[in-house]
Amino acid sequence: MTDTSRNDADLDAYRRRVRAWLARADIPEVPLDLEGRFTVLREWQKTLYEAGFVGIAWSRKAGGQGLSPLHQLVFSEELARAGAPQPIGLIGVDVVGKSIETYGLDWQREQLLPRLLSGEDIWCQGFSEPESGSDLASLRTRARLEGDEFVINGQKVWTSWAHKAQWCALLARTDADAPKHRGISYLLVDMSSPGVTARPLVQMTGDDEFCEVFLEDVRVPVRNLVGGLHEGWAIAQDTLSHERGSYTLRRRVEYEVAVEEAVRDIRGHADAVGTEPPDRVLEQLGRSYTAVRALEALTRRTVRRQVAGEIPSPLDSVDKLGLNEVEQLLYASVTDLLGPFRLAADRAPFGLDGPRWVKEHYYSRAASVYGGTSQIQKNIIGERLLGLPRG
Amino acid sequence: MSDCWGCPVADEEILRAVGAFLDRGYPDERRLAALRSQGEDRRLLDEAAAQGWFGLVAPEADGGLGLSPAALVPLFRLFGRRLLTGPLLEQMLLPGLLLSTARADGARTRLAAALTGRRRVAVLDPGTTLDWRAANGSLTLDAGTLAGSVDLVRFGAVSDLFVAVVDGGGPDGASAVLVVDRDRPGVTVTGHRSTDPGASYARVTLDGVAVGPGDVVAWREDGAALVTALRGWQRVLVAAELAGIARHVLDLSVAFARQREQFGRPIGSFQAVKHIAASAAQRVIMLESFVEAVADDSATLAPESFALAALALKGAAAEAGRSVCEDALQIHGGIGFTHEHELHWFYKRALSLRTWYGDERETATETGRRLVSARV
Ligand SMILES: Cc1cc2nc3c(=O)[nH]c(=O)nc-3n(C[C@H](O)[C@H](O)[C@H](O)COP(=O)(O)OP(=O)(O)OC[C@H]3O[C@@H](n4cnc5c(N)ncnc54)[C@H](O)[C@@H]3O)c2cc1C
Repeated sequence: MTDTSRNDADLDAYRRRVRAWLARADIPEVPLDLEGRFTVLREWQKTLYEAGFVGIAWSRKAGGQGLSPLHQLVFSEELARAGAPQPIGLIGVDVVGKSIETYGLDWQREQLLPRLLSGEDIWCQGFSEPESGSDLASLRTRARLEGDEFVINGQKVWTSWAHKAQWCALLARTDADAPKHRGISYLLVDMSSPGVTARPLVQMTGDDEFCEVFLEDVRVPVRNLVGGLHEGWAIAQDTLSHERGSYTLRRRVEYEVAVEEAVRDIRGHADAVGTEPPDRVLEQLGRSYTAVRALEALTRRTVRRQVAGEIPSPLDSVDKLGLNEVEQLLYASVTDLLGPFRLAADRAPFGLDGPRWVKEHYYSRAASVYGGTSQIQKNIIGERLLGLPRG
Repeated sequence: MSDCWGCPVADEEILRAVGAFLDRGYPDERRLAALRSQGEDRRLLDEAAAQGWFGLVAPEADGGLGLSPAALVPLFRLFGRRLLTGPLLEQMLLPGLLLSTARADGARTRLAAALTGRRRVAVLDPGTTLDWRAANGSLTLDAGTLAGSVDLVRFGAVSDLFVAVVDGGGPDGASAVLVVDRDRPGVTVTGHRSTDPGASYARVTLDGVAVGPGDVVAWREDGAALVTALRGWQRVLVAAELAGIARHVLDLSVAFARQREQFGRPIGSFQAVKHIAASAAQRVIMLESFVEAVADDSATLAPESFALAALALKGAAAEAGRSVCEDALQIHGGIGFTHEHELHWFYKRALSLRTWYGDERETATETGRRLVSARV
């Protein structure tokens, strides 16, 4: 793992403080089922928030600690090292919340964000629609201005945690006549508003983590607009940048933990049977370790960009592509080692926890889809980073 | 992006000076001549020695600058980009690294002669390969006699000072590093024909070569530690060179894709071409970050952890180095397959460096082995 604290007394002291706190903390066991997981992790988020460990790099006004992204990284690393789970409200904390902090009105920052950080309010991201996935700017959900309210009609889909959320950061078309990128606004929608219906969809993993969201004459006060009217696209880009960059930072810490677990289990099994695992096992493990280590190196640049304020950037897409390739390589490599024993959940080939790896492997297939598919990231890298002409 | 992010100022100045020398004094014809003669360019060695390249990592007491080998990383990236070949690893890394450990006067004098380019160093290390190690020979040391052979010795035929790595082949399985003059009785050197445009290779046989305390660089624990450091740093610098190669062929490909037109438009506007370039760029950036990270960490990592990082990095570089060159070949179409274009030199060089100290499969297996056996 990175030693981000090198040569920096302040970060060293922070790391020690985090370690000391985690050593005393009551780290929860995370249940496998979605409901149980949600409840436990939401409670855990509250505990972390009260200790000052959620929104570490956020401004104090928004309920954060006013520290740097390096402090945030130190915390994420220590959390993982202690074997402790991440908080649940990551769409809020890592993705949409940051855009509200940057572009939002004072009341939005001051009243909504502390509750977002504490997990009191869970947030979701209402971008994708049935007819608008990769071509997000073609979205059709309409918001009509009526006095001091928007009236929203339309449908969102794949909205993660919508059925659990109190709030939604929603993109809606406010000017149907403008070119498609120029008629979109960024709205904050109270999910308990009349006319909002979230219908869960079961994912490949068996969890119903995302939803279809139907909006019928949903009334939203004008003060819930983030940024200018019709100017939501730039903010959406900012949100996607967080989803690609910050999310990669957090996920890579989880991959490190996963590799460590695989190593521990395979080593334990090797010790128990008294023979070294076959070369195939060692190779897959080494490959996974190497990939995760390379991703860790890449995310050091992400942190530097964040510290320097160089976001959004086409390099966010390099991070996201890195995330999806490493995640898929890692979980496919380890799951492959189950061989035919993936079919018998009670067996633990090479000491590996079969059901856990199978589930993670399923989940890894989403990594090249959410946050913009891998092809979309390649379009962005090709055009905006390499300067290749548009097709 | 700078090749030297976060480098100390001195390192950045060195990088600039070397870059300026290459701009000024190393035109394409010279590079081509070197590639046609397996990295032989005697004048380059004289110029490099005169500019102090070989003393960068040597201790100050020996007239060196006493820098960490990490200071060589940006230079090797540059060498990769410019396809500068020759015994740069052998002259810039080895003498300095060995002098930092060597105590015996006899060994020290000879290593110091390499700093001025008067002697040329090659390393006899059976561990330059992992999966083919059994075929690469081994060295043993017993009662003052060095015996055995190493099949792949880079620049073996054109060097006069051999660094012999006795990896567990001493009494009681001890490790040692020694220096042996090529003209010692019992030393035989047989050149190989090689596909590497940037280096020649030879088999070196030591048939009962008598050695004394003056030949020993490091012994037992120190010997094992030096072998670990020597392999680790060679892996890091080869990876840096591969990162430079990958960067250059990517840049060539992007420039080509913007300018070459088919069907009335630049080929870079076709998504099938654009995506190859984008994916290659992602791998190049990731490799560059990895090289930087390991160089940064080298100062603080424990020796075994550094060795593991170097091993993983070498595997990543082997894989990305080859695949990015292959992507570049595809983007270039027919011209990339010819001697009219420089691409094939970069590709052949990448394939050579890819295997040196382990390709992505060998290093992955070894990485896994070290993780599982908890030798880290
Ligand atoms: C687990 C998960 C969680 C998600 N969570 C959320 C969420 O919380 N909020 C939210 O708004 N969305 C969310 N999404 C939606 C996600 O952003 C979209 O699925 C994604 O943008 C792709 O859109 P699509 O599914 O409509 O696929 P499509 O856009 O229809 O794509 C289908 C295929 O066509 C390819 N394709 C499309 N256009 C191009 C092009 N121009 N060039 C090359 N290839 C192209 C795609 O790459 C893909 O392979 C989530 C998705 C998943 C899987």
